[in-house]
Amino acid sequence: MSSVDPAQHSAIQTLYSDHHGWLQSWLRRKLGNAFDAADVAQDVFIKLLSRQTRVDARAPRAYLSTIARGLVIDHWRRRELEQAWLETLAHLPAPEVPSPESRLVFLEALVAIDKVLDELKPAVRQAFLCAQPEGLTCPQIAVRLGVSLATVERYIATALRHCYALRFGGDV
Amino acid sequence: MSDAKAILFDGNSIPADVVDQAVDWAVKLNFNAASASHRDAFSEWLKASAINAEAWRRVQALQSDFAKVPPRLAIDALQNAALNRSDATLSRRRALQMLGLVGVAAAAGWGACRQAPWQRLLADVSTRVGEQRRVRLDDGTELVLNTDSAISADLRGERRLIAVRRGEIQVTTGADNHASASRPFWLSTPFEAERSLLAALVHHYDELIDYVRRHFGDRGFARDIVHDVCVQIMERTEQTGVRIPLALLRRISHDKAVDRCRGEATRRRWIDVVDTLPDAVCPSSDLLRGLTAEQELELLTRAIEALPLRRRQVFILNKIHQLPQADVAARLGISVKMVEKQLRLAMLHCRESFEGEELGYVRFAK
Repeated sequence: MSSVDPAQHSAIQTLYSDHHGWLQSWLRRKLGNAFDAADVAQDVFIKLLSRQTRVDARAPRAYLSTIARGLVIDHWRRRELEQAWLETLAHLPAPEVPSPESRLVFLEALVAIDKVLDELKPAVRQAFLCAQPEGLTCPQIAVRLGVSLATVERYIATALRHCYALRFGGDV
Repeated sequence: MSDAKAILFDGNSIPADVVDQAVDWAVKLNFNAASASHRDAFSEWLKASAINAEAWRRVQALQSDFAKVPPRLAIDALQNAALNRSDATLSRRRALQMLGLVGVAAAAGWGACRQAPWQRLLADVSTRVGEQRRVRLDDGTELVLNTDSAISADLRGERRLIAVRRGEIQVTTGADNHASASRPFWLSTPFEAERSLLAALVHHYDELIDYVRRHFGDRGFARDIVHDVCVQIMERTEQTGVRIPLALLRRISHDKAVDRCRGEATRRRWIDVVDTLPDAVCPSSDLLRGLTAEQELELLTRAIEALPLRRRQVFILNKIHQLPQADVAARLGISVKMVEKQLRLAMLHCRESFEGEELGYVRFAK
């Protein structure tokens, strides 16, 4: 898994030495601060290294910024979620507020869940949300959403297959 | 034990139909009250092959993220996030629906993309930063333009009109000896235009950017903020009679910047989200449509620049300086009908190049 072929490796190295500075300032403009920019720039190259596909060296900056864009979006999504999470916590009565370390675990899990949910169709998402965190059974969901049991089961199966593709790869 | 088996399959090699079977079982067993016969059939299936067992293990593992978070908290947080996001999308859509946006975004873009303040483009006389200039007009009026100022003068009509586009001037009116009777002298200042917040924003564009940049440290960020403020003003009904528009604009920009720094929620809608990564499963069509704010501004600026001279003049005078059509006609020495026509064509051109480009973009992304 960690075996990156040497040609690929040196291509990435060249990419890094030639364009890292540019990428970082491009990201600084998008993100508004240098720390996040440095983080995301780093992630871009980590992503490159973990990829199987060849580095496209014809238009290196376009290539880098395409990858960076995806990561920037992830970054903002994460920020949004953090914000929503903090809002949720702020409304909790003091004894119910989770401890700082479990908060972090929750947030990580939420980010993962959010990533999955984001790519589902709204109806599927709604059904899946009833099933997963809420723990309703398919017949209960069918009643709540006013659709047939078969439809709900199809929705849940779609969502699960999607989760599977996201986690273990393969196309669904 | 199932981990040991997993090594045999190495990575992603579980066939899709087995995954489908595992998912179907999960739906039956985890999300339904399964009957005894179902359970028996399931254990048969599970035992039938090691691949089945591994597929089942994986499908069960998928649910572990959900198990980590207390359900109520998870639902609340996800709902909050969804709400914030739909707010951002809605306000953006509403803004784009407004026909006038093209004009105003162009105004902001014009400022953003030019190094020199655009007010000078239309001025008869202007000074650069650090320059002072004394000008004597035909009617004997003497003007002193202070640093970074721009004026235009129209002495042809029934009245003498000096418009201060930018900066400050000192005026000593002349006797107007050439005219049969001394004509009234009118001075129009930026403050007159500032009755509308939007006009104030256009007028103080550079200043606002500077203000945000000073407080939040980044020029690109500042531009985005001011652009957002511009859209926000567009969305609301026009507020008039604001006593000190610049102060209000500063306040709005400041709040907006703080919002942005905290939540970053609105910002996302401005980011180019066309994601051509192979591992992005299904970027929603809504995201595909998003162009970056900079791209929009660039497009519009290019569109304006591509206009024929006269059309461009009309567009800039009317849309950017908010000069009434009749005044534009008088200034350029053409009929009001012609102004209307040029304006219509200019708007059409801007909108078309905007939409054409956008469509092309989506096509490219696919």
